[in-house]
Amino acid sequence: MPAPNPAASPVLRSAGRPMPNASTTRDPLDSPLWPSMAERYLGGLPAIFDDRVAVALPPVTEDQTQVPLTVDARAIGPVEELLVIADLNPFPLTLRLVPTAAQAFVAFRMKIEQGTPIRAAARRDGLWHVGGRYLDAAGGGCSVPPVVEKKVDWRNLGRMRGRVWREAHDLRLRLRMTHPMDNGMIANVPLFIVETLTVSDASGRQLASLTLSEAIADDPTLTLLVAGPETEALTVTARNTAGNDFRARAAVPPADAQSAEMQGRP
Amino acid sequence: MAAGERSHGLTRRHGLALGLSAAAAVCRPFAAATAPRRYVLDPVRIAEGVWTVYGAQEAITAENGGAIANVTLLDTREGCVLIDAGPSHRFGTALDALARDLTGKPVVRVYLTHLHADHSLGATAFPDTVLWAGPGLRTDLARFGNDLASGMYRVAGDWMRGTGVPKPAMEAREGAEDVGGRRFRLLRLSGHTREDLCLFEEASGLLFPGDLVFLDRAATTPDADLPRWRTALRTIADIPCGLLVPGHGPAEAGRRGIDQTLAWLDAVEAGIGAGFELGLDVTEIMARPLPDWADGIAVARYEYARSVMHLLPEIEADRLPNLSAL
Repeated sequence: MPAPNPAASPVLRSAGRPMPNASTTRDPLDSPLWPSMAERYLGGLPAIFDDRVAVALPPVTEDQTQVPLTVDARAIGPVEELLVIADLNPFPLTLRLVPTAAQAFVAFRMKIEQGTPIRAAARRDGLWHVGGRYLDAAGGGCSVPPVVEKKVDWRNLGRMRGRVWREAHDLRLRLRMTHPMDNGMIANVPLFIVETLTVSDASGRQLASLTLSEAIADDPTLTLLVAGPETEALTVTARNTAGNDFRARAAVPPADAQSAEMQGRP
Repeated sequence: MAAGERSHGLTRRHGLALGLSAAAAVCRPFAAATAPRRYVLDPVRIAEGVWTVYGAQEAITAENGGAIANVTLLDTREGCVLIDAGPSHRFGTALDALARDLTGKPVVRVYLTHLHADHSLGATAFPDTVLWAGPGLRTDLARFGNDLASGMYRVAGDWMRGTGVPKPAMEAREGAEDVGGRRFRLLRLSGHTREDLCLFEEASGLLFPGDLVFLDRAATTPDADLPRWRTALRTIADIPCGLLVPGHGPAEAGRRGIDQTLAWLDAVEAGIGAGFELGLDVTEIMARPLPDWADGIAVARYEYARSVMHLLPEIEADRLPNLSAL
């Protein structure tokens, strides 16, 4: 993401950190639904549009049931909460991340009902910083049954695959959970989703917690950046709408092992 | 990667956007948007009695009407034989007229190489009884054709008017077919899609591998099976042909198209695999650089981005370790 250029935009200093120009309160995506989204999800706190909250989308939407995106609000600094909102989706609030000891960063895949603005809102010190882009798409990712009935791997329901990488300042966790995300909009398929997911270190300290919505794609696949360079493992816990709990352990590679592996790569 | 894993991903992808380029579709003057669409076919003679209408080396857009794939017309004593039929009914109608202009004969056979809309949907301009397709393609057209057409209407718009789903009545089988003094050898291969028909015309020495070969244009992978694709390319490389007419890109003697397609698939797979090993997710891998030589390949970045969406989930399903449950 481009670093904010202090020479190009007037920067106010407040509480020791840069603030963008407060005039950026007009929705750059001109979405008629944004005011109601803000009212519904931002808890009455003020919001500004801020390019430092980056939403990366693919150049084309091919499969509306698996649209990949990356939200990166690290340039804001530590945030209390990060929301992803798709104005024109039936379940606009897509994901909520509380990065207790994690970066304001998440990559995942979602379902899209139609072309829509996709926003990320990062809350810091009572102010929402909102960024986003418009995603063009055909209709039906949420409400049209697949042509071929999707196969659900019931035997492995809740099974987690994943891996942890060491980065300069964080642990990068990639996680893929075998679980349908049935949103209840398709006839005879009741609501059945993974609702909450938390990541803790080996001592039990919570690093990040997420609330997933009906709009998350089947087999939730997430990338997170969490703290905890000292820990030898991350624990992931998840709960679905049937009240089933799932827990798994992801080993953290030793610092030297991974660097040796990186050097060995052609 | 199990073959079965692919099948449910197939369904929506086809229909919903085979290579649309939203960015190119905007900023069009209103007058142009409302003017009637007409394909201007520019046949290039590539051999005695054989002409190729080259597709634009682009993604499918509302400007090009989906005319991005090559179509070849071969004159025979019985009539004109087409290899592929273009993206729309209107394109097929224009091909029909062109065949009569060039050969003075009607189209007696249309061989469809594979499922993708830019090659197949123009076939609706011809009677079912002249349409030839392999058994896999006939099944897939019946199953996915409607989604395919819907996706094209959305991306290409009015160009698609009147286009339905082709229903080839004739089954193309492996082996030789004599048509009016020409002899077509048919090979049923796969890898670009579930079934890719490759044709070799012995009289002219022309080889038509469909979209198993792309030249100077990035290969597309929405339905690809890379190991099978490489096997198919090795099979094609062994055919002693005069001129190879790729699905996209110029007809050439020699194996540059085969080698470039192999190199592209290798580069895509290596790039995505390296990104996976670094822990990157889809849009992060899309942003990574391609090899320098890819600068000379049309729509390289766009197709690479699509390929990341197609292939990374398979790599994840295959290579992300199982976590121990607690």
